[in-house]
Amino acid sequence: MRIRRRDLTGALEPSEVDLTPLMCLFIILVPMLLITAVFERLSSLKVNLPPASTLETTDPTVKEPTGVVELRLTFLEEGLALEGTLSHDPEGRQKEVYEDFSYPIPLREGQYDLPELQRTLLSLKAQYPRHENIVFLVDDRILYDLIVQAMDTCREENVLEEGERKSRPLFPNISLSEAFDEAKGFDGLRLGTREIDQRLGTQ
Amino acid sequence: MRRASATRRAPIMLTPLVDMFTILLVFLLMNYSTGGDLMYMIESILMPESISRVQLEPAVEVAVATDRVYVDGDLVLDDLSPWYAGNELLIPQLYEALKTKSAQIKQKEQLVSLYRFSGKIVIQGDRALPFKLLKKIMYTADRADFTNISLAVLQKGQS
Repeated sequence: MRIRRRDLTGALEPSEVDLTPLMCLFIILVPMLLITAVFERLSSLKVNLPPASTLETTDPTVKEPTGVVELRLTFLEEGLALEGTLSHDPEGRQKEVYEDFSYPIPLREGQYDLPELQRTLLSLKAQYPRHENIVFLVDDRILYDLIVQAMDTCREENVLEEGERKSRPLFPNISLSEAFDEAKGFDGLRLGTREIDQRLGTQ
Repeated sequence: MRRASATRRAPIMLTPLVDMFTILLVFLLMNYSTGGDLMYMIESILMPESISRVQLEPAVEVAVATDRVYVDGDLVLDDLSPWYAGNELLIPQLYEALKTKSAQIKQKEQLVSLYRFSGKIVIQGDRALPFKLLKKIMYTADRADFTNISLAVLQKGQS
């Protein structure tokens, strides 16, 4: 205390901030945060399984008077194809006209053209803003990575607006399904689970 | 101590250290996550990247490498080659493991009143997995009463 008082009267020697408590705090906090740091974050993607009848009919109670009845994205080795059914009602609700459309998106330089897919989806979303469902029909040889990338493309649109990343939902309800091949059919669909169930004593 | 104070004391420059710690602290606080991800990570699995930010929820986990399948960290099947070749959709070993899990959860449901069987399952798949296998995994999970399927992904480029 005596020293300090003398300093005050002298008023010329600069006093130093005591950093020791701050260092103590840092030395405890930094290792703690380093230990708990997570550098690879995980997140989840919700997937729906399509109801058995998706491809034949759609639920009439939720059908919009005009708009997209169904939207399908087909994955083939040759490229993607966006297909769907639109409905128009030139003479009122009772007389709807269904119209199929198909928009192939071929490979570009050996890669699946996801930007083109997004442009197509954007124009569809602009016309039918209330539609949110899309069914993926995937070929057996398509890799999981591409499916997830396509899900990202369909789920939301990412735009850079004034340096800020924003996302708008496009078609977030995604169902995963198999590309149905009439010739092949679904063999092994009912392959026995009964034996295993009996063995485990479950139903 | 007395000796040190007797000689002339050399001042330690703490300012750069404090600068460094401050930067480190801010950086670490920025990517600090309070919700922990509890997941059995399998080394050989490289999950795809996605822009999704949806938090993973605790659920039964199926980890699918290109050649083997784990359920909640336990190896269930160590050779997937028959399913690459064949057309049958059900994978019996996986079905058995999942059915046991769902039976356990349902048993717990009866003991604890607020506990509900949600049918949630998280699939941790390798990037190079063909859809042929993924569909079989999903089909098997669905048959074993796990209808609420999510895919685990790595978060792409943090903003």
